Amino acid sequence: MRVRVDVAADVPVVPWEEVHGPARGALYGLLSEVEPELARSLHDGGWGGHPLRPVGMTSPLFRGAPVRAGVFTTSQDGSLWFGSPVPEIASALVRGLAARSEIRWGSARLSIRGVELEQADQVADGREDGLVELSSVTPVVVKREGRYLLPGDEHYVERLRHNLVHKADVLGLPAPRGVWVVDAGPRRRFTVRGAPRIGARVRVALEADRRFVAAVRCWGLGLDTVQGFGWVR
Amino acid sequence: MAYLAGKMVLSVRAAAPNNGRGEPTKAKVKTVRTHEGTFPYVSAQAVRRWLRESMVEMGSVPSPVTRVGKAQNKAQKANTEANPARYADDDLFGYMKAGPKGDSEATTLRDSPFMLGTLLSVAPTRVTDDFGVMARGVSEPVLHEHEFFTADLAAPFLLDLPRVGTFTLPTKTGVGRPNYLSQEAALQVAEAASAGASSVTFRDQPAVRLPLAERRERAALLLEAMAQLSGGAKQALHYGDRVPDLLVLVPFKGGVNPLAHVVDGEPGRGLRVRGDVLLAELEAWEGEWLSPVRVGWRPGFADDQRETFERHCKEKIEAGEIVIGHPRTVLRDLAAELRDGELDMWFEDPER
Repeated sequence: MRVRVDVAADVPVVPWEEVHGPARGALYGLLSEVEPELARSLHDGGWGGHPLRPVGMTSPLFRGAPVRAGVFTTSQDGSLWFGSPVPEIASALVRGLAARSEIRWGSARLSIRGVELEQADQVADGREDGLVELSSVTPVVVKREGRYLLPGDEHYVERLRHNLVHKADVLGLPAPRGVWVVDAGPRRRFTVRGAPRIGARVRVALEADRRFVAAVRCWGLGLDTVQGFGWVR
Repeated sequence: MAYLAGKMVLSVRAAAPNNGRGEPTKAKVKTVRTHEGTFPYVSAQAVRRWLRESMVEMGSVPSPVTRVGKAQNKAQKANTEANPARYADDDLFGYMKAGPKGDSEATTLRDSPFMLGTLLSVAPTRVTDDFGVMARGVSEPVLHEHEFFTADLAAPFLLDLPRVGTFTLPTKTGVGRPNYLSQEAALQVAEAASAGASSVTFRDQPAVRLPLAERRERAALLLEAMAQLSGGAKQALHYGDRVPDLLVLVPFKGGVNPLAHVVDGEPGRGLRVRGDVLLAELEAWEGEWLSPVRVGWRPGFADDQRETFERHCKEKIEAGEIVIGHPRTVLRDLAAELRDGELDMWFEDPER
């Protein structure tokens, strides 16, 4: 299940290190208000004996924000997305949001204008060749031996597939049969808690069970989904 | 096939299964009076309660009921928890939850996916007035009266299967306004999410839908409850079986129930089951229903009518387009098919 939260920012600009930096804190803040035990176990140990955390979100994305070179500007018309393919986590997220009127995002306050449930069938459907195409809204983070990979790099698809297979394993769903990168955006670098995260937006084609595709839409592609990366449009 | 349309007949012999407003020493049955005479009936509310209680007997946890209003000396109301994600009876039978007058809590409601008509006598009949005396161990006997009747009662019903386990969310009116969740709706979504629900668009409205396995289970449970229906008033004096004696079930694409005249009554003769009418209706609705038509007919009930019915429908029975069995077997077999996933397409609206 995935929800869209429409927000208005109280500051005109968010510092770059606060674009993705506060995501994890905001997410656990929401969860811990309604399900402290769930939030703690997810934070400390992952889910179902796996280190992965089946939850995703975006950084706040603002429509109509003024364009200023080198600055992340905001507007009164922003949105964040949250989601999880795990019923308990999705339920806690919605309950957490129902009780909130604002979200603290680093030094900014995002006042909540409304929460809307995203319809699963609103999302783009399969292609003629039977594959399903997913595009990410935020950069997809993929890593190998401590080094961030970008689309086109050797091992990129292999690591992305490995990540998806691991996610399928956590959810007890059939692993995807094939993953192909169809298109990619430019390299993006963000700072999260003092450390860099490097990735790029991608459009991928998946040959996979529909339940798994639905789950990825609520979780995200690649690593660090809990930090706002890899959210699927 | 989205709807399971049906008609059921309950043969009531010397009983008073649902009483109306009585007088100080007289319990009266419910009746409808028309120019043709008096027709006893059992209200749909009563039968729906029997079904709820049969579901509980089968292990389903009922939604807790709270009475509100009286303490505040205001209008009296009784509400269930209005939690269809958690409670099958809230899902199948719907609800309207309103707080005490002036309470700011929003009223929530759910239309019942299971619709049932009044179990009305198929023909006019005389209601018997039973005069009784309680004289045991008292010097001045207490006089009392109650009514009972003998009649075949029939009612149509409809189960909107795509709506079982599907909960539409209230939408705000106004062009282009987002469908933001109210706090109540958000909590309802959260409850459904914890049961594994996904978000869907259902009949042009945003909705959450429970996993198919749970929806199958709930629909099957309702049919199984019907297969062992019991309950009603005055059982100490007028004990009787309440499992339908006759049942016709047809899966339909639209929310129609063309079985009205398949089972009716003939003045002076009572129940009439018409195979020729069923065939004519099926022909008129060709393409809108799915084979087979399931008929449950208890052995020994209206045998002469059954013979005529089977003669009229011989071809379709031989072709397997109409199947006849004991109502309990028919209902339980259908429940098993639903539960096993053989009829999963019934849980989606048909494409047109």
